[in-house]
Amino acid sequence: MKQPISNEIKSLSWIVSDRIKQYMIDQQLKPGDRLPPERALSEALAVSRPVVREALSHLETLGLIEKHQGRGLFVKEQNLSRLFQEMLPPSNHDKQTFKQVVEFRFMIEQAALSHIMNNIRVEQLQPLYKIIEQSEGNISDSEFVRLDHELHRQLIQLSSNPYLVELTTVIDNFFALIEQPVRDKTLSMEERNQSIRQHRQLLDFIEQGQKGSAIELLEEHLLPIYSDF
Amino acid sequence: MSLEPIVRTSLKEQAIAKIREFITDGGFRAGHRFYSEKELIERLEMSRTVIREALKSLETIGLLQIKPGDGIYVSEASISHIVDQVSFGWTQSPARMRELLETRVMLEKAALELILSRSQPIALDALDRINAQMAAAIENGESIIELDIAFHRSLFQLTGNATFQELSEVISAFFHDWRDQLLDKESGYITLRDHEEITKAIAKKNMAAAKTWLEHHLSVWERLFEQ
Repeated sequence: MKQPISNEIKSLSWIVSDRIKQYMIDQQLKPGDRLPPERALSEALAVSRPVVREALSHLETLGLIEKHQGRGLFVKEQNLSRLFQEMLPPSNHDKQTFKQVVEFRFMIEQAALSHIMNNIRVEQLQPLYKIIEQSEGNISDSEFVRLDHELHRQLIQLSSNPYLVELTTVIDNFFALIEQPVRDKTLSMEERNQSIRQHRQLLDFIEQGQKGSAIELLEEHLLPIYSDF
Repeated sequence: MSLEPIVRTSLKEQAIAKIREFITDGGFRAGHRFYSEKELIERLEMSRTVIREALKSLETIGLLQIKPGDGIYVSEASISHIVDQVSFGWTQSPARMRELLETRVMLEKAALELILSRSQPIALDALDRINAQMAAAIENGESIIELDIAFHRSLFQLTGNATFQELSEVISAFFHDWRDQLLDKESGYITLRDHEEITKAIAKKNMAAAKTWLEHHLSVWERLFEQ
C-alpha cells in the first residue's frame, strides 16, 4: 500500500465492510469458509477494488477474516480475545496497573471456582491430579512453572465458560510478556513442595465442596507469587 | 530445555503498543492532534511501512483518525463501537448471549466482592445520584437505558480496578442493544427498585443481600435469550 487513502474511499470502505459482514451472515458462512475473491465482491457490490480492499483490511484487523497464503480470504473463528487484548494496558505500564491485572486474574479464577463447585463431577478433576503428579517429578524450574500455569488454566476451563477462558488466556499472555525475571528465577525445593501441597489441597476442597476454604486457599496461593514485582 | 509458549509480537504489534502508550501517557484528548507520521517514525525508530500499518489498525479500532493532508487525530474509542464491529451475528445467537450473561453475572458478583472487601469507606454518591436520576426519568416518561448502563458501569468503577472495569465493559457492551427490548415503562420501576436495593446492601456491607439482589436483577435477561 503506497498511497494514503482518500477520505472518500475510507468512508465508503466502512459501508462496504458492513455489507460484506451482512453477506457473511446471509450466506451463513462459518469459520473456515472462503470469501468470494476481491474481483467478485467488487462487481457484486458495484464499488471499486481499492474500496473493497480497504474494507477487507478492516475485517482482517478486526479479526473477522484471515488471509491464507495464496488461497484467499477465509472467515475466522470469532472470539473476544482480540477485544480483551485491546483493553489490557500496555505490558510495561506501572506497578499499580500490574497489581490490578493480578487482582482481576484472581477474581476470574475465583468466579470459575464458585461456578465449578456447583457443577462438576469428581472425574473431571482427574486430569488436574495428573498434572500435580507430573509436577512432582524431577523436572526443570521452567517446566514446573509451565505445569502450574496449566493447572490453573484447566481449572478455569472446567467452568465451561469460554469468556472466562479467553480472559485468562489474554491475561496469561500479558504476564508472559513481562514475566522474564520471574521465569528465570530458580525455585527452591520448599517452594515447589508448598505449591504442590496447595494444589492438592485445593483440589481436595473442590471435591469436598468446601467453597470458602477453596477460595481462601486460592487467594493465599496466587497473590504472593506476584509480590516479586 | 522445556518448551515454553512462544508469545510472538510482530513489529506491527510492537508499534501499536508503543503508539498506544504515547496516546495515554502523552495526555492527548479526543479531538487533539497527535504526532505526525514522521515524528512517529523518528520516535519509534521503525520503518514507514510498519508505522503506517500500525496506524491503520489503530484507526480501524477507533483510537486514531487519519485525515489525509491534515494530520493524525486522537479519537474516542468507545467500546460499543468496537464491539459492534467485531460481534456481528453474535448478539443474534441466544446460546452466545446466554454464555455472555453468565459471564456478566460472574463479573458483577466479583465486582461486589471487591467493593465490599476494600478497607476504605465506599463512596456511594455516584450510585445514589444515578438512582435519583432514574427515578426522575421514569416520572417524566423518559428512557432509562443510559442510566441503567451508567449504574452497572459505576459498580465496576467502585472496585477501584481500572483493568477489571475495562475488561468487564467488553462483556457489558453486548447488552447495550438489547436493553430497549427489556426496559419498558413498567420494568423501569422494577429496575430502579433493584438498583436501590443493591445500593442499600452495599451501604450496609451486606454481601449476601447485594449478591442476591444482583442475581435477581440480572435474571430477567434470561427470558430474552431462551431458545
